[in-house]
Amino acid sequence: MRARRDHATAGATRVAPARRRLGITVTLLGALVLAWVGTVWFWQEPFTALYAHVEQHRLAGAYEKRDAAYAATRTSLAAEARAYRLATRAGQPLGWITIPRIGLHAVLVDGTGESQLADGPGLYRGDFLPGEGRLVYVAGHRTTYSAPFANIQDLRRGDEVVISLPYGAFRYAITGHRVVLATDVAVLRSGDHEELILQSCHPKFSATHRWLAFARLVSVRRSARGRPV
Amino acid sequence: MARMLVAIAGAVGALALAAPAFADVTAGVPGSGGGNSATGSAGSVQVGGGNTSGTSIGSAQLGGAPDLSAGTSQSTPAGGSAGGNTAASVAGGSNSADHSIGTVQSGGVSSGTSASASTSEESASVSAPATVGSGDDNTAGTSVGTVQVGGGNTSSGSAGTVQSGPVTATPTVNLAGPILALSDSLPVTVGGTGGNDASGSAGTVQIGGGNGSSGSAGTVQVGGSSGSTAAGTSPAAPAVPAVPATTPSTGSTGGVLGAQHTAGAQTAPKGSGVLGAAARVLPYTGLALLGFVVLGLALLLSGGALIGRARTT
Repeated sequence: MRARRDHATAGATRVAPARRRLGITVTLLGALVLAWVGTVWFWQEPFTALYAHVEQHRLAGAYEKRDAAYAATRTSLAAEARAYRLATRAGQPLGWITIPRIGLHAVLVDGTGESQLADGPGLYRGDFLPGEGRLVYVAGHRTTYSAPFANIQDLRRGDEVVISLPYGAFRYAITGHRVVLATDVAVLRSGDHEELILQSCHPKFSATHRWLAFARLVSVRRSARGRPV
Repeated sequence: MARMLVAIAGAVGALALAAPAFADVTAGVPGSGGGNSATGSAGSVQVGGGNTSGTSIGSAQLGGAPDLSAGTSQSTPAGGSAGGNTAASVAGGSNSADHSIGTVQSGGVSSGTSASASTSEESASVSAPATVGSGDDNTAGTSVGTVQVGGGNTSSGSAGTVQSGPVTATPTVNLAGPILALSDSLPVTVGGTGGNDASGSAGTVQIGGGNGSSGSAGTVQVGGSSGSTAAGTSPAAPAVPAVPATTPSTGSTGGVLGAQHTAGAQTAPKGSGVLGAAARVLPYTGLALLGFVVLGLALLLSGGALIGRARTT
C-alpha cells in the first residue's frame, strides 16, 4: 500500500515540472500572439510589410525599365491607354500611385488577386486604365503588406490622387466615400465617364465590408515620350 | 528551455516571411498536378504536384498523386477463394499556402476498399468506395492553422479553419447463394456543389461544398446532406451487382448554419476589361484580427491553468 503511494508520488513529482514547462511555453506563445495583435492594431503587420517592401523595390526597378522602353503607337489617349492595358500581364508594374494626404507613393500593380495585392496597390483587371474614359478601380491592403490604404478613411473631398503611367500623369480629386458589403460587386461596373475608386477592407480589422473612396479626373499631362513620333 | 523554443520559433518565422529563399526545406514526390514550389519557406512537405507555399512555415500539401493500391487473394483447396483490395488516389488540383503558418492541404481524395469470398456454391462481396471533394484548387494565403481536404476551398487571411469538400460514400454488399441473392447499397452524400470560402474568418469549420463565411468568427457549416438506400432481393439468382439508388441524391447547395454569399445582384462588370471575369466578392484587402485575439487569450489561459495545476500537484 505504502509502496503504491510512493510510486504515485514519484510520478506526480515527474509530471509537475513537465506540466509547468509546458504551461510557461503556452503562456509565452499566447503573450507573443497578443503582442503581435497589438503591433498590427497600433501600426501594421510587420512581417508582410517587410515582404511588400522588398517586392515594391523589385517592382520599382522593373517599372523603371518598362517606362524607359515605352514608345506609344497610338494618337488618341484612350487608344494608347487601352494598348498599354492589353500589353500588361497580371502582377506587372503599371505605374506609380501617389496620395499625399495618406503619405502613399507606391508602384501600382496590375491585378487585384492575392499575390498582386501582396506586392502593392492593384488595379482591378475587369475595369480600365486612366485615360480610357471609364472606371479605374484600385484596391489596396489596410493592415497587411505595408498597408497602403491603412488610412483611406482620412481622405477628404478635394484631396489629390496622382497616377503616373508611361503615357501620362493623371490627377484626380476625391469627391466622397461609401461603405458597401464585400459582395456588392455592382460597384465594379464602369459608367461611361472617367472615375477613380480606391478600395480597402472595412472595418479595419475585418473583411465584411469595403470602404470606397471616389475621385474624379481633374487634369491629364501626357508624356512627351508617350506621343507617337 | 521554453524561452529558447519561443525565440527560435519567432526567429524562424521572421526570417522565413522576410527573406524569400532563406530556408527552403521541401520533400517532393513527382505527381500529376505540375511542379511544387516552396520558396522562402521552412518545414514544408509537398507530395504530388501543383503545390505552392511561398514564405510559409510548417506546410503539408498533398497534390495530384499517382494511384496507390494494394490487394491480396488466396485460394482454398475446396475450390473457394478470398481476397481484398484497397486503392486511393488524390485528384490533381493545386494547393496554395503562401505566407501561411501551419497549413495542411489535400486535393480531392478518392478511396475504395473491397473484400470478397466465394465457395463453389456461394459468394459474398463488400465494397466501400468514398470520395472527398473534387480536383479543384485549395487556397490558404496569409492564414494560420488551416486544414483543407478536397479541392475548392478558400481561406485567405483566416485563422483556425477546417474545410472539407463534399463527402460521398457508397457502401455496397452483395450476397449470392443457391437459395437467396441479396444486394444492398447505401449511398450517402454530405455537401453541396461548389467550394467553401472562409476568407477573413476565425475558427471556421465547413464540411461539404457550397459554404461561405467571409469575415466571420466561430462559424460551423455543414453542406446539405442527403442519403438514400436501395436493396434488391431475388431468389436463386446469380450474384447481383450493386443496384443504383432508387432515390437520387439531392445534394443541396449552401451551408446549414452560417452566412452565404449573396449571389443575387452579382453580375460581371460590364466594362470590356482585360479579363471580363465575373467577381463574387470585391477584392480582399483585410485581416481578421479577432481570431488572433481569441487564440492569444486561449493560449494565455491554458498556460496559466497548466502552471496552476503543476503547483497544486
